[in-house]
Amino acid sequence: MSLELLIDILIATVPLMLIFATLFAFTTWLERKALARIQNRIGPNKVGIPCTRIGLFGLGQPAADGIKMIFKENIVPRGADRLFHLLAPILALIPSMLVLCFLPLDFPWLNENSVKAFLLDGAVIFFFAITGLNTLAVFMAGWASRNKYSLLGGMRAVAQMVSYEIPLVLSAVIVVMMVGSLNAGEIAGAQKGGNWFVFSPWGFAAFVIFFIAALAETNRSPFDLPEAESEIIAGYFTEYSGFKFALFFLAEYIAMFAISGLAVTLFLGGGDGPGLAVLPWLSVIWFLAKIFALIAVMIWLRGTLPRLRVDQLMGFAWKFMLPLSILNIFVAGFAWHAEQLDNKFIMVITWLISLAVLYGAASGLNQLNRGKVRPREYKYAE
Amino acid sequence: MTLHHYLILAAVLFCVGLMGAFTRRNAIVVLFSVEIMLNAANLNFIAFWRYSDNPELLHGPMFTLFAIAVAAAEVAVGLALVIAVYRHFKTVDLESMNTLRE
Amino acid sequence: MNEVIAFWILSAIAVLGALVAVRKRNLIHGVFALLVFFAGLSGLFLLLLAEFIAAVQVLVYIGAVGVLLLFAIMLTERVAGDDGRRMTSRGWSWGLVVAAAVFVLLLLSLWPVQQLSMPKAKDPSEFLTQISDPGYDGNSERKRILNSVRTIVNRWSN
Repeated sequence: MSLELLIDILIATVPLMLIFATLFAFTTWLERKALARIQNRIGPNKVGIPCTRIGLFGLGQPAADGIKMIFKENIVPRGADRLFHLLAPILALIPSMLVLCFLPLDFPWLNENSVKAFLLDGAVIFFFAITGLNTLAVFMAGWASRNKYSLLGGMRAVAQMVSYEIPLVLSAVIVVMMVGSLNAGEIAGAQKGGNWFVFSPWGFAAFVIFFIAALAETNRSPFDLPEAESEIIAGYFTEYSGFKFALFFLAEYIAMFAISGLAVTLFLGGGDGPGLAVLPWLSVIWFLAKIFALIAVMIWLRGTLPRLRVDQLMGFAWKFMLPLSILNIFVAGFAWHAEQLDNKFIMVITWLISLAVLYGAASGLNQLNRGKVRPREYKYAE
Repeated sequence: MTLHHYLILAAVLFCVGLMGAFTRRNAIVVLFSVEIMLNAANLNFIAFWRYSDNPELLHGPMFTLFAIAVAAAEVAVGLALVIAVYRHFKTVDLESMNTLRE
Repeated sequence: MNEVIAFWILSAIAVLGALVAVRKRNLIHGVFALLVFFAGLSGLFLLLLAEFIAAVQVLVYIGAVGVLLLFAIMLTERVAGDDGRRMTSRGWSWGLVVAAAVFVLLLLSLWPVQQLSMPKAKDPSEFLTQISDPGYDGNSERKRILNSVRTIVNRWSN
């Protein structure tokens, strides 16, 4: 390997890791602050500049948390599988870090000769392949802890992640069909000039399905059953402490960034936005801003929605999301053929028909899945 | 690297799988071994394709893609069988499943 | 040179993974060793410039088959995954003999391959330089592949 290639690889990867690790620290603060406001609290507001009284809205909290995590004792249960207990957080972090390079972040310091993994033919399929490894890390953590609650959390997580991966991939297929490429750079390029996929009936449906499935993939509330505190303590990382716990935490947030980044690439136009003609480097800013918008929605949902039951979770994936995403593929196929005709009138008709079909299918599935539960009758407590 | 490196590697992997299938008595491990053998065959397909005269024809990847799809289905069916057998015999030990012999 | 080092490392990973998967008493450890084997093989596919197959290998085998095997073990064996009884089957020594015999047979069958196709065989690195060549036009290459697929289909349908 030549030195130049090594330097090119470092230039392409190190900034990504630094930027997203910084964003991770900021997001933990943002999440705690936002949740606190939703719950009518103040949130972290004490830690600022050390040895002064300056609080800085608690912005020093992530650093303080990090220092605390590193110096905490590393406890491994006696019956645990020591090797797997050690490997699980590492295996959780590596795939989430690795997929960041498939996001079409065109940094200003990258030129034509730089290593750009997102221009790989098949970047999207690599993305899905590598995110699939997260499931194994979660199972490994749950199994290695030799704890019933951990194992329950791990099995819940595996079932949930495997189920929700299908609608996730099927909704991404629509974009791949429309663009005719698995290349993340080409997909983002096809949406230049406000021509985003989310602004079409099939694209919007696919985006909503993708986002819900992404919430479940990253174990975010309302799908946070694998780590449901009130049911199984902390799920698969009950037995983790100190730095290993911090690694899990980091992996979870990086996975959130990565999957939001893929949603931005596929549906929200990548780095597209106003002002690109004047300042091309704005595309990175727009990309990160869109990721943050999605993260803000995730935090908002966490503060708003209650957790699902296991049967509701599975039913939602298999009885609602899967049929809808398959139907959406057919709708998108017909829309693609209509687009080839290049006729305004036909396009309008296609839009109306696909809107009607998707809305009808969604409400019909909703009716079908509605449980046979009547309002509860109170016999004695009048 | 020559074609022979890949072919010998595939042969080694195939025989490791064969050894597992012959020497273990746990049905699930026998399934692992079958998977190892199938993957060794896939490696052969890809190696022959890459070292052939016209790799742009994509014959090898086509075969491999089909083999992977069929193998994934085969694992699903095999594990369903293993679970059904376990429910009946309360074991996955292949040597205790000798109802037909007695 | 890099390619040779990568080949030896990846093949060592694959063979060791397969051996551990087959010989490990603990089934969960066995599954993870099997996944290491799949990952090594996926690396070998990358080395042979079949990156789509490598991605599918990771997606299908590590992502789906691995999880399926874990589920099957959790549903059948004890949760700890220990294969507590006698691990090997009754005629295991015969199994070893047959496996060794098949290996010898495979090596013998490789002999004519050398004489038939080695002179014509290309080094993958040539193909790589062809692709990374600035004059290389990916579009025309794609058209050529499509055309050749079309001719094959025509030949078969006639």
